[in-house]
Parts: sequence; structure tokens; C-alpha cells
Amino acid sequence: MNQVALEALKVLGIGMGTVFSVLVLFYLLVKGLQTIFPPEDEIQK
Amino acid sequence: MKVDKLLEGLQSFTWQQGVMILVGLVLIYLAIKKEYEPMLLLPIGFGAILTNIPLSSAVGENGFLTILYNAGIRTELFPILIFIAVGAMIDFSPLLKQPVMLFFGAAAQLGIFAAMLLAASTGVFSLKEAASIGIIGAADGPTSIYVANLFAPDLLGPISVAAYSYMALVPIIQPPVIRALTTKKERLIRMDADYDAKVSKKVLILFPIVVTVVAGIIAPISVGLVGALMFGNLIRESGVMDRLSKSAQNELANLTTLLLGITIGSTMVAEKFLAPTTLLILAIGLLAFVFDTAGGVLFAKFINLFLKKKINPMIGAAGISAFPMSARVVQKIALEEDPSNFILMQAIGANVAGQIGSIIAGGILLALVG
Repeated sequence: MNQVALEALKVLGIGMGTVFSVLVLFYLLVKGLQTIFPPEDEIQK
Repeated sequence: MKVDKLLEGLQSFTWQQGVMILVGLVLIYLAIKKEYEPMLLLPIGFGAILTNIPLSSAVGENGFLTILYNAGIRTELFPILIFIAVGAMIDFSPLLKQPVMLFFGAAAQLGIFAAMLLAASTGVFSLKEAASIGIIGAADGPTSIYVANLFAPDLLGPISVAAYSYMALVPIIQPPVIRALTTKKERLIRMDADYDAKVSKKVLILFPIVVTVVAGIIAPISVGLVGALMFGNLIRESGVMDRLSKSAQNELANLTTLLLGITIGSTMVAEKFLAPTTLLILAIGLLAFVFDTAGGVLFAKFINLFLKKKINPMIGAAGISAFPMSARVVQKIALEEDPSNFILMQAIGANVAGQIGSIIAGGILLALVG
């Protein structure tokens, strides 16, 4: 495996890990926002 | 009288230019006859013809295509304007109703990184060029253009053509991959959907702001991409800028798409495009879409190992950015297996997640390789 491919392999690992981490963070943020601001229907109930 | 001037074009004509004019005609044919991404492929095809006519006045120092390229592509202005328009078109509520779909939007970005690795392994491309080829797997034209223009402007033509062509071919590329990786039993899995679920208006407004700030802090280089998309979405969701929201969705989107397409076409110069690397880019680009689909499906199968109530693994394939084609493909296969199995709502949620995932992956790639 050439040097560029080795670097690409590193980017693959770090990149996919970061994409997942960021989207997990977004998931938690959305859940948090939905807890703080529930849909208007729920407030009426 | 300068009669010779009339023959200069003919005398300068090369077979390579002839081939490129044919390529342009094929793209126009695909756009009109097959309706493959006509709004992009037709202007790209015509731009390719304009730029390959010998001694064309459309290109060169004062050519209008060169002026458009310098003003709109080199500066990244056109992709950014497209992002604002796309942001104004996206409705995030299917995703916000089922935020778990975000994970599929992450898994289906595998194609970007796997294709980059593949391109790098050939030994033909530098890491930046490999990353630009990998970004075809974002299944997101503006992101591909944005990254390719920064990392490998010489490869912009084939990368853009591959990105838009394969997006149009999602209904052909994805089904065999999905079928190969899932069993009939898995494709028959039903999923409950809460069709009455609602999302607070405040959440819809705060979401684009929060995403921009968080993504921007993690990868500041992605602010241009993510910020423009989310700005467009904020205009839409604010509820107080209807006129501007509609302008972004229509006039801005149409005008920018028109100029973007023909300008991209102008990068398809014979000497650059007719190279073995172009075929390699087209082949790796196709594989990027295959890896995307496989990444999403296999991730869904993996998390099914831990779930009591299984999810239909086809949903994972909808985690790419090609919206709404990918969600429709998944729903179509589900209906073929069982005419009463409706998983479109979940697939749309994953598809919207793919739009966020692809732009985040693009930003991360810029940060890691740039």
C-alpha cells in the first residue's frame, strides 16, 4: 500500500468516526431541543 | 477580405474536440430523452460543446464562460448560492420527528471515504485529488463541486459529471446493491411510523442555528457549506421571510443552477477530459455510490443485532443525500416485496439525514485533507 493510500486509510477512520460523532451530537441536541420545546399540542394537553 | 479567418476554426479542429462535442451531445440526450438530472446535464452538455468549438469566443480571457468560472466557481460563489437555495427547499421535520435516522445519514457516507481510499490506492492521484473523487459519494452536486474546486480544480469536469449522472442513476444503482445485501425476510420488515408526530416551531427554527454553530466549531472550514445551507433553511422556517424563502427556492435556485451547469461544462476541455484518469474517476465515482448504499444497509443490519424490534435495513440505503430519489427507491422495493408495507416516512427521514451527513462529511474532509 502506497503512502497516499495509508494517509487515505487514516482519513477514512478519522473521517467516519468524526461524521458519526457529529451526528450523534446532533441527535442529542435534537432530543434536548425537543425536551425543552415540546410540540404545542403536548403543552395544551 | 480575410477569408482565411472563416477557415481558421475548421483548420484548428481536432478529433479530441470532436469527441468532446459528442460527449456534450450525449449529456444533452440523457437530459432530454431520459430526463437524467436535466437541469444540470443539459447546461453541462451545452457548456462542453461551447468550450470545445475551436477558437471558441465563449472561453479565453474575455469569454463569458471564463468570466462566469472565475466569478462563480473559483470563488465558490455558485455552490454557496445553491446551498442557500437547497436549504430553503429542505423540510427537516421528517428527520426531527425521528432523529434516530441521523445515524443512517452518517453510515451512508462510507462511500466518500472508501472511494477516496480506492482512488489513493491506484497510485495515480494525490491525497487531495483522491478526496475530490471520493466526494462524488456525497451524492450531492454542490458539495462535490465545492470540495473538488478547492482540492483538484483540474478534475472538476469529470467529478461534476460523475456526481450528477450517478445521482440521476440512483434508481438503477441502488436496488441491486440493496437486494444483494438483504434477505427477503429483512426486506419484509415493517416499521411503525407515528404519522401524527409533530415538531415544535421553535425546534425547527433553532435546528439550523445549532447545527451551524456546532459544525462550525468542530470544522471551521465547513462554515461556508453548512452555514449557507442552514441559512436557507432558517429563512424557510422563520415564517417571516416567505417572499425571500420562495425567491431562494425558485429564482435563486433556477438562475444559479443554469449558470453553474454551463460553467461546469466549460471545464470539460478536451485535453483535460480525454484522459485515462477520467474513466478511472467515473468508475470510482460509481463505486462510491455502491459503497454508500452498502454502508447504510450494513449499518442497519448491524444495529438490528441489538434491537428487539428490528428495523428494515433498506432504510440505511436512503441515508445518502440524493433526495428524494433514494427514499423512493427504498419504498419501491418494499412495495415490490409486500404491497402493504409503507416505510416511506422513515426512508425520507434517513434521506434528509443524508443531506446533513454529506455536507458534514464534506466539511470534515476539507478539514482533514486541506
